[in-house]
Amino acid sequence: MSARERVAQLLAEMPAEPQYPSQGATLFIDLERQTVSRAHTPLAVVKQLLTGRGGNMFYLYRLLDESRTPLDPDIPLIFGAGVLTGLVPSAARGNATSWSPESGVLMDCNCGDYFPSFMKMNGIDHIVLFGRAAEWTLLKIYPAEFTPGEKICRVEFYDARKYAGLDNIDLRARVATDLGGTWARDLAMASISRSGENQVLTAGIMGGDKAIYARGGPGAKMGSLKLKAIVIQGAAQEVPTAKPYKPVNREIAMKLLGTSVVKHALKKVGTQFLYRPSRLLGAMGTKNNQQTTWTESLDAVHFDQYRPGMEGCFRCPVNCRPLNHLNDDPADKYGRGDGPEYVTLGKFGPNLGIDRVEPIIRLSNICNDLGLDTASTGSALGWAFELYQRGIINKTHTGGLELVWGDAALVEKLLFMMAAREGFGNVLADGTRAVEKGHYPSEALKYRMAVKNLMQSDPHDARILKAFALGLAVATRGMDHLRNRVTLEINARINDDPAFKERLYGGPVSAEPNSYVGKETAVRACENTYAVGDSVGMCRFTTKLFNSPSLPGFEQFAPQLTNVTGLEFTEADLSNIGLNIIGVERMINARLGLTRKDDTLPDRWFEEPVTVGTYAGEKIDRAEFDAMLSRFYAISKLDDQGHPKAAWKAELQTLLGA
Amino acid sequence: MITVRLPAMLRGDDGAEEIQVEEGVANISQLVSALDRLRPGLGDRLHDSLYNFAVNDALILHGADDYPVAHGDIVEIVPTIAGG
Repeated sequence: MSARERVAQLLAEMPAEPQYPSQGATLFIDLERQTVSRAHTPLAVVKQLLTGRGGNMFYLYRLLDESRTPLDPDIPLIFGAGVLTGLVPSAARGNATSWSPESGVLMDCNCGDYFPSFMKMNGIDHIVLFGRAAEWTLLKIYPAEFTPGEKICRVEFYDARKYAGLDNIDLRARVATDLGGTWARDLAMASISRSGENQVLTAGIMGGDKAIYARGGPGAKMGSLKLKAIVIQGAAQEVPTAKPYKPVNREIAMKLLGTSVVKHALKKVGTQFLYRPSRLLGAMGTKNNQQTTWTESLDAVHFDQYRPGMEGCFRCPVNCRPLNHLNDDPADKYGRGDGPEYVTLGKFGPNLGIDRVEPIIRLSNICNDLGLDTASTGSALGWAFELYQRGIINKTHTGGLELVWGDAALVEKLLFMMAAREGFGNVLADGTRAVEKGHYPSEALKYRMAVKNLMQSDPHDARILKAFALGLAVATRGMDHLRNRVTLEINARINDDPAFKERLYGGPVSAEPNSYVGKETAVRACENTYAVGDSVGMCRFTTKLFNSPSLPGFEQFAPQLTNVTGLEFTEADLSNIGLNIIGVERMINARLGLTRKDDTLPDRWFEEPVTVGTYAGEKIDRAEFDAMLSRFYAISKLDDQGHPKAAWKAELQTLLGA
Repeated sequence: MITVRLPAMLRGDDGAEEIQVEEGVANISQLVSALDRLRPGLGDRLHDSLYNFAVNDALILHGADDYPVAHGDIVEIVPTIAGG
C-alpha cells in the first residue's frame, strides 16, 4: 500500500473538526502532487498520547511501511507541536519523527526556537509530509481565515531551486528578504542546508540560527523529499482555550525563575557549566572515549570573554542559549553565532583532542551553518580519528589526509567536505553506517560509540553512573541522554537524602552513583516524565528531574492541560501517557526488527575500565547490567525482548486503530 | 587551613574567589558550618542540589556531609547542571 493510500485510509477515520478548543489541525502534505489534506487527531489518541512527540508516534505507527527504506518518499516525515507549545513559559518545543536514515530505527528529534510555537499558534498540531517533490520546494504556511474557535492555514508550494546550495546563515537572510518578514516576529522556519540536500546521515533540520532537529538524520530525510524549507509566516495568534490558563503560567514562570539552577546557571552561562564536573569526575569522553578527562582550559569560565549575552526561545523567560562573539570581521561569517552547548563543547573539544575554546566556538558556528548535528558529526569524526590512530584506516581511506587529534583546521575542512560529500567527507557523511557502506573494515565496529546505530548524543562517559548507562542503552531512538537521563544522580544533596530520592522516583534508588540497585526505577520515572514533557512541548532543561527536582512536572502540566483543552488529566494519567508513548515507540522499533540485544552499550564500556579519578577501575559489569535491564523491562510492562507485553500491546493497537 | 574555591554566583561583594577557613573542621558538614560563620547565609545557599563539592579535585557524588577534609585541602564548590 502506498503512503497516499495509507493517508487516505487514516483521513477517513479522523475527525474533520477540532475535538477541543485549542486543538490544531494535522496537515497531510503530498509533495509530489502538491496537495494538502487536513483533519484532527482523534480525541482518544490525544488522551493517551497527547500531541507533539506522542501524537507523532500515532501517525508514524499508522503510516510506516517497514518493507521500504528510510529515505523512500513513501516514508513520512512528521512534525508535531506539543499541547502546550507556545502557550506556557519554556514550552517552545516540538518534535520531528520518521524512520531514521542514520540509525535504521525510530527517528524522533526535538527542537525549540520559534518554529514549533508558530505551528501551534497558527492552528497546526502536526504536519505529515510524504512524496518527493519534482524540484526543490519551499512550503509557505500562513493563516488565511479565522473562524470562531479555529484557525485555517493555507499552504503554498514555492519553487526553491534558487535556494538550493544555501546554508543556514545565507538561507535565512534570503528567505526573510524574499518573503518580507522578520524572524521571531512574523516568520519561523524549519529548513535544511547543503548537508541535508546531500543526504548526509548526520544532517539535521535547522529551526533557527542554532536550534536544530538534530538526531537520526532528519535533514537527510527532508532532503530526500526535495523539501528545502517550511516557512510559517504570520504572527503568533492567541489560541482558544477551555479555561483561563495564564494565571497558572505566572506560577510556572515564577517556579522556573526561582529555581536555583535556572537563576544562577542556565540564565547566566548555560550548559557549558557541565564540562567541569564531568572532567573532575573522570567521565568526560575524550578521544572517542579512550580517555575520560581533559584540560581545564575548556571550563565554562574560559568562554566568558566570548559570550556577549544570552538568547532564548519563544516566550521563554530562561534565555539559556549563550551567544558567541569571536571577532568583528564582517567577512568572517563564523566569527559570531549562537552556542556552543555542552554537547558541542564535549564532542568538538575532548572528543577530538582540541584544547582551546576559540576553535570549538568556530566549529560550532560552522556546524550550525552547515546544518550538522554536532553530536553525531563529532562522534563520526572521533571514531575516524581513533581508527586512523590504530591503523585500521590509513591515508588510502582518507584521501591522503592525516587524522591527528587536536587538528582543528583539519576538522573544519572535514566539516565542509562532509556537507558536500566530497572525498573522505563522503565516508564521514555515512556516520555510523561507514562499515555497512564498505568504507571501513568490520573491525572498526569495535570502536564505534553507538547504540542502535546512533552515536552517543553527549560526551559523558557512563561507565561510572549506572543509571546513565541504562538510559543510553534503552533509549528508543538510540544512544541519547535526552530521552531518560537521571541527571540528578550527579547531585550529592539528592543522593544523600534517600527518602526524598525515593519520593522523587517512586521507589528506592541507591545513593551510590556506581551502584546498579534501583536505577531502573529512576530511568523509568525520567523516561515517563520526559516523554510527556516532549508531548506538551516543555524544554528538557526546565522539566522536572532533568536539572532540578523543583522544576515544572506532572503537577503543573496536568492542570494546565485541563485548562487549555478542557479534558481531564491527572498526574497519574500523565505517568501512564509517558509509558504509552514509550510503548508505541518500542512497537515501532519492534516492527523494524529490534530486540533485547539492541538495548545494550558499546563494547568498550564493558571491557575497558576508567583509569582516572575517584572511580578509577569502574566499568559496566555484563551480568549486573543484564539483571538491571531485566528489572527495567519488568517495571515497564515489557517482555523479555523489550517489547510491550501482549495485553498492553493489544490495548495500544486498539488505540492506534491498527 | 582549608582553601574553599567559590563559583562566581557564590562570591561576595568583594568578588573574592576563595575563602580561607582557619577553624579546625573534620568533614564537609563542619566546613559548611564554618563557612556560614565566616559569611552568614552561605551555609543555607549550599544546601542546594545545584552545588557539589570537590576535595582536591575529587568530585563527591554521595556521602558529602561526612566526607573528610583536613588542613591543606583545597575544596571547590562546583555548580552541576545537565546539558544538551
